[in-house]
Amino acid sequence: LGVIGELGATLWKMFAGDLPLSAAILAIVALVVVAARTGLLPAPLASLLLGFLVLAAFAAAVGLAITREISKRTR
Amino acid sequence: MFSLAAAPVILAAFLASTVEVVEAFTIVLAVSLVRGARPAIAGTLAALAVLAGAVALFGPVLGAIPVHGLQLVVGVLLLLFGLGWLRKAVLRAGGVLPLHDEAAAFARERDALAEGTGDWLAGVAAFKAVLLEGTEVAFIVIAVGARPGMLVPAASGAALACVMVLAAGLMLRAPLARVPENSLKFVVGSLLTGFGLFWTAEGLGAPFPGGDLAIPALIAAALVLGLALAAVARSALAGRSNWA
Repeated sequence: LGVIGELGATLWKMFAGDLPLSAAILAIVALVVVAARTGLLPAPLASLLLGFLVLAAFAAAVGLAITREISKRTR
Repeated sequence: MFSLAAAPVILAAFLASTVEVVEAFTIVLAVSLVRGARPAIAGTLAALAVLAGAVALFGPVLGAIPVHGLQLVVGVLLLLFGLGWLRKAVLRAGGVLPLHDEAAAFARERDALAEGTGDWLAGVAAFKAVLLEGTEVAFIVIAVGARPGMLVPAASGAALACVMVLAAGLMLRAPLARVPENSLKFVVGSLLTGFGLFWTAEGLGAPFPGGDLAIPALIAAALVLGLALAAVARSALAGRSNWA
């Protein structure tokens, strides 16, 4: 049971180690799926938007972690 | 032997597997040195058997999923996994998080094992390490090989990593503390993120312009962004400590 629990924890850590970032990625993918499937965005634009938004969300998540660390060290 | 298009797949599977196998090897080595080779080998073989069984069970299921659906699911999972690695590597390189220390991990495991655990529990420790790290290796191989004809190159990259780490470890009989784990994580995080973006877009039916050539471009974009963010973190933290 302990091993199964740790396996579950490992899988959780693999895909949701940073929960806000993972949630943002899923929301971005859902948004681009809707935009692409409804024809709101042509195919090349949808993929480029996906790349841009995912990398922007990543930069924001890292920036937030840096800011948190700076404020922690200042305190 | 393999086409040129397989090169990034082999590289991603090889580097990612190196990181995971080094971590599993550290624990198995600690078990072997403290409690003897028997529980270490038994735990390792049992975990490999469970992993092989899981792959044999779930492998055919993956083949039954429509290609676009599979690419979308694998792409999103790769994005979540790859960005997690890249985030951790950036924060470590930027000095926000401490670097992973394989020698310290080995010492912790060795001390825990020396505190009177029996052979059975030592075998379970080896089993857990190989199973948990092996699960990540299996996922990476399946994910980066999720394209017709790419599973064998991906599995070959992972197998090569296993052989090299085991050979180095058996020669040294010490934790492989000099493997530049964070640099590897940086590169692997970028590779997985690039593949993740590519598969997700393919799964959506909205592929990137340029076809397969988009893969190296996406990997480079993730790597450059990661390096820039690590530089920002370093200078921000250095500026803060100078100011304080």
